[in-house]
Parts: sequence; C-alpha cells; structure tokens
Amino acid sequence: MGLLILTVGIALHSDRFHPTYLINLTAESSFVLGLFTILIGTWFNGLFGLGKLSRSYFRFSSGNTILEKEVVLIGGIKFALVVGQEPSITPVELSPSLMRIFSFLICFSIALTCFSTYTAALIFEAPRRFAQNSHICPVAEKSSKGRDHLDPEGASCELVYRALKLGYIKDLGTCGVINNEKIELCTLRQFDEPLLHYSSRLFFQFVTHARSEWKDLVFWHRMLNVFNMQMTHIKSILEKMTYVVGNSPRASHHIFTNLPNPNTPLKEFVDHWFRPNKCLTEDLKVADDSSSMSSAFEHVYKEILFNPSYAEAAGFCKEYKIHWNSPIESCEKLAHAPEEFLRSMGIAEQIKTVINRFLGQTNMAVLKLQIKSIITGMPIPPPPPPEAGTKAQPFVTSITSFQCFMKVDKVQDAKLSKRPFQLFGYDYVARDLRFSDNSGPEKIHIDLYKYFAQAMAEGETYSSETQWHVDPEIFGSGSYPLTRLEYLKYIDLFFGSQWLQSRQDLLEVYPYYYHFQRFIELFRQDYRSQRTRL
Amino acid sequence: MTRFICLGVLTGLVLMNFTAAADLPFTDKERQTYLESVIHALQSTPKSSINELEEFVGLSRREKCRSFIESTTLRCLQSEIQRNCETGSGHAIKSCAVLSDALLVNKMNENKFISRETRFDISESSANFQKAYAKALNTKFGLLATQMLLLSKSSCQDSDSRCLAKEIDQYCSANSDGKSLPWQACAVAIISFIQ
Repeated sequence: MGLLILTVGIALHSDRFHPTYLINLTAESSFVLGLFTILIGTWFNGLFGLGKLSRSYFRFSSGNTILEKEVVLIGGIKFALVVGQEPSITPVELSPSLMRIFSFLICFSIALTCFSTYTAALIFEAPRRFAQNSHICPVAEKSSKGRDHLDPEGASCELVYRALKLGYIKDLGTCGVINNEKIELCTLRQFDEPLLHYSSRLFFQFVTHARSEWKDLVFWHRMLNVFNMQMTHIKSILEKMTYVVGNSPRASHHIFTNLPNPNTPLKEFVDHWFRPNKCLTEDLKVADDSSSMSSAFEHVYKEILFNPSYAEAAGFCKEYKIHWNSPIESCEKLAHAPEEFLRSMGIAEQIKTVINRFLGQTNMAVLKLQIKSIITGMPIPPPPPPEAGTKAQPFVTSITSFQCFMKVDKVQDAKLSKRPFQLFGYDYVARDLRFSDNSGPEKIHIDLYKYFAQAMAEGETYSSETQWHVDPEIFGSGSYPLTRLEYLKYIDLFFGSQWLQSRQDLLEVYPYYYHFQRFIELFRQDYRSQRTRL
Repeated sequence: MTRFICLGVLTGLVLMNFTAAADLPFTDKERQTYLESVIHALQSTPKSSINELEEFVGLSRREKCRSFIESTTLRCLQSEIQRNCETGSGHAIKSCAVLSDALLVNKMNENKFISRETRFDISESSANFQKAYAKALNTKFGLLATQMLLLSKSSCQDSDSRCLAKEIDQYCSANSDGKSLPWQACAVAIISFIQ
C-alpha cells in the first residue's frame, strides 16, 4: 500500500495523471506504458506473491501484549507497531484480484513517471540507430570517371595517395581538395576491414596517443592543474550541481497586492502539491473571469505575462509569485527593512538562491576559461578584478524583482512610486503602483491592463503613433454597417477612445484580440529588456 | 387610474427601448436582421451580378485603393462601393449596398484566412492562381461554417434565414475573438460558404 501511495503520489506530483497529458500520449508511448504495466505488473505480482496469503502481518499493540513470534518495529511498551508470524492471528487480506490491480497501478504509475512521449520515441528509434553502423566508414560512391574525380591534378595525385597509404605523408595536400572542399581521412573501420585489424589499429592508436600525452608528464601536470583549479572552485561546482538537481529557480519575481486571493486555500494546496506545472498547461487557455477584481487581476496577470498566443511569454510562470492580501504598505516596508520583510514573507532564501546561482554561473564561466587555457597550454587568464562585481548589478536586479500592485479607494491616492533599497549588497527599486478602480465587475478591465503594465515595467512605449482618428459618429445608424465595423480595428481602448466603453453593442463585436495583441507585444518587448532569467 | 399609470409606464419603457435601439445600432437584434438581409441578398441576386461586384471590389483594392496603410485602403474602398452602388454599374443591381458591404469585408479580411506564406505556396504550386486561391479561401470558410454547425445547439431549417442569422451572430460573437477574427469577417465568411 505504501508503494502504491508513493508511486501514484510521484506521478500525480509530476502532473502525469493530468487528463491533458494522458490525452496527448502518442500511440508509441501508450504501447510502452501498456506493455510495461502488463508485463512488469504480472511479474511483480508473482514475484512478491501478492495473490497468496500473507505469512507475516503488521499489528498495533498496546499495553505490552507482544506475542512470541512478534517483533516490535516502532514504538515502546505502551504502544507499538509490531510485525509477526503468529499462526493464531489471521491477517486481514485484500482479495487477489484487488492486489493484482494494485500491482498494475503501481507499474502504470512508474511507467507514467519514467516514460514520456520523447523516451518512448527513443525506444522505438533505437533499432534504427543501432543499425546505422556509425563506426564504419561510409562507402565512397564511384563516379563514371572512377578515381579521377578526386584528382584535380590528374594521374600525379595517384602517387600522393599511395604515399599516404604507405605512411610517408600525413596530408593529401592539394590532392585532398575537390571543389574547395577538404577531404577528411576516415579513420573509422573500413568497410572490408577485419575486426582484429581494426582492434589492433585502435590499440596502437591509443598507445601512441598515451605515450605522447604522458611524455615528460605534461599530461599529468595539466590534469593536476585542472584538478587544483577545480578544487579552488569546488564550492561553485557543488552549488551548481545542487541547483541543477534541485531544479532551483532561475529568476524570482514577486508581486505584492492587497487584493484578496480569488482561490480557496484547498485549491492552492492541491495545485501546489499535485499540479505544480498547472501554470504551464492549464493557464495557457486563459478564460476571462471578471467576477471579482482579484479574478480580473489574475486574468490580466496571466494574459500580459504568459499567454503564448500573443507573443513569446515574458517569463517562466513558475518563477512569478503573487502575494495576495499583502499590506498596502508592503513596498514601504520592503524599502525600509528589505531582508526582514522578505523573511517575513518567506521568500528571502529564494531570492538569495537565485543571486547565488547567478554568481556561481559567473564563477563557472571563469573556471571553464581557465581549464581550457590549462589544457591547451595557453596562459591562464587572471580572475576578474573585484570591481567586476558591480557589473553584475543590473543583471541581478533583472532576475529578481519586486512590485506592489495596490488598490486604493480614493482617486487622489492613486500613483506610481519608486522605492529604492539595498538587498544583499545590490541596489533595487521596487515599483509601488496604487490604483483606483471603481468600475463594476461587468466592465472590461482595460485600465487594469494598463496599471499592471505600469507596475511591471519601466517606460512602457505603447503610443498612438500608428493610430488613426475614428469619429464616433461613424458607428451610428445607416448603410454599410459591416464595413463600418471594420473601423473598430483602428479604435484602441488602451489609448483613449474611452467613449467606446459606453457602447455595449460595439463592445460585443470589438476585436479585442487585435488590440490586446499589440498592447501585450509592446509590453513584453519593454519588459524583456528589463527582466530576464538565468 | 392605476391602470392608466401602468399603461403609461409600460409605454414609456417601450419607447425608451426603441430610443436605446436607435442609439445602439449594432445590438444583437440589429446585427441579426442585417445578416438576414445579406443572406437574402445573396440568395436572390444572380451569380453573375455577385461576381461583377466582387470583381469591382477586388479591382478597386488592387488598383485605385492600393495602399500600405490598411485604413486608407478601407476608407477608399468604402467610398468606391458607395459610388458604384449609387451612380456606377452597381446601381442596376438590387441590394448592391448590402452585397458590396459583405464583399468588402470579405476582401479586407482575406489575409486573416490565408497567410502570405500560403499565398506564395499557392502561387508556386498552381497553374491558375485565382482559381486555386478561391478554392483555398472557400475551404477555410467551410471549416468555419462546419465548426459553427457542429457547435450549434439548434438546427435551422434551410428556408429559415432568421434562425441562421441568429446562429451565425451568436457563434461569431462567442468565438471570433479566439480565432483572431473580427466578428464581421467571421459572419460574412460563413454566409459566403453557406450560400
């Protein structure tokens, strides 16, 4: 049962039981899944004798009532979990068919976790790849001219080829150039070469290479230097491995808002533990839910940053976090005592990890250069001067950012403030936007798009340069109504044209996609120049 | 007395409704009525006349109204079809305005259905570009119409153009934005295919 819970839990956590994933499985992967489940499931069931009666059992014992053939697994005198083989006790058994179903389910979960469409395709491709014989030299096609087509100088090159064959020369020189293409000598196994000959050739090649490498212990010294260099940067190397294995974030962007969370705690919990990749799949089909300001804001947030139907997403959704119900003075607190505030929000460590990952990457790039220099025998480049750290400043603030998006009641309180502060030695600016929106839930939240864009990126370039003035009178009664509706393409709700908000009839047929597309494309263009990920 | 007051209030409400309808000429009812008239116009007009108008719109777009700026093309085409229906060769065609209106929208939105790359492919692979292009366009319109029919909950009789207009309006209002199509382009494309 424990194994069943564990395997199903892992598969659930990896989103493998998600209907979208299951529907999109290819025929090959479905076949592999089925085969694995049936074969291994049957074998698993037989090997562990799941269909037979159990010889041992688990039992909770209280008050020191442990029998002769029982051993305490966990616990003490008063209360313990014991395992035993006492014949007088008949363990509770699940029916053999149920056990068989469970073993199939375990194997299905394992198969779902291990085999994806990609791996299944690789399995099916394996015979073809093995049959390619990539270790054998390709057979050259003989042209009607025979060997002469390789010979720019005519018969004189025959001697060069013979000299190469006999080992007097190592290069074909001009004879190796056909149509300005250099002929590469194939050192792999020849088509008609006996295996023993090829093996001996490989062996002598290895010996020759090893002798030249170990002569005067040059190779040894180089390896020692590389090892020493790696030891100097061992912290960065280990950290890099930890980040890769732990799938650490490559950026961390935080949005604090005083709006209430539109999702229930249960939904948040389920999404966090069982659907960690939800934002990558389900949220691609963003539905407009304007039932509350929070829902509308969540919709706008996903549309502006992640909906791929407009342009390339502005970032990786798992690296963004909305902090609902944050105090209105969040950004002030952040600017006043950044570390303390971030610790109270539980995100200080995450920010630090991203910064450390970036610094580690910089160290690794230097190490890579140094190792390359050691191996090639070139002079080792000096480590970057300490002032080079200041160059990291703009990059660090582009992979970690903080924004406040606060709703206020009074129009006069609505403003955008920039709050500078220092965090972990880097200069940050938190954008604190306070907006007042008194529109009803039925109204399209065009302003919300504009406010959010303002809060997220500096210098939003959306302008009216390409706009064309359209007179509202054109949408009165009269002939050619379909043609007149075409003019809606040139009326931009994001830039002026507020009169359109009162024309419910036109809003029903307004080409939102057209204007959203332009707005979002321009926003993302701006945003990507300011924010990025490792 | 109470009866008179109630009657007065009701009359007021009806009048207000009419006034609102006049202020908002693109409400669903108005749209459906107009789409119905487009369906009728396409059904009752001879094919040759429709082709003539289509050719006029196409020619105007290619020559007189040719511009890199789409809005300029649109404005020019609008004045051209108006002139054609009032004083030009289209004057003789009944429902010229309605037909030209639909044909103009179709022409302006062709690129939403057939991309520049597909256009190029068609020109490369076919002997008769116009014919192949029209066929490709018709296939796209057909796909849209098929999807509408598959999604529709009610089934309209062949002769019930009111029902069809309503269905087209509802489908296009709900789905055209998701397909990156303007409502009018969606509606006219479906009508063009069905006729």
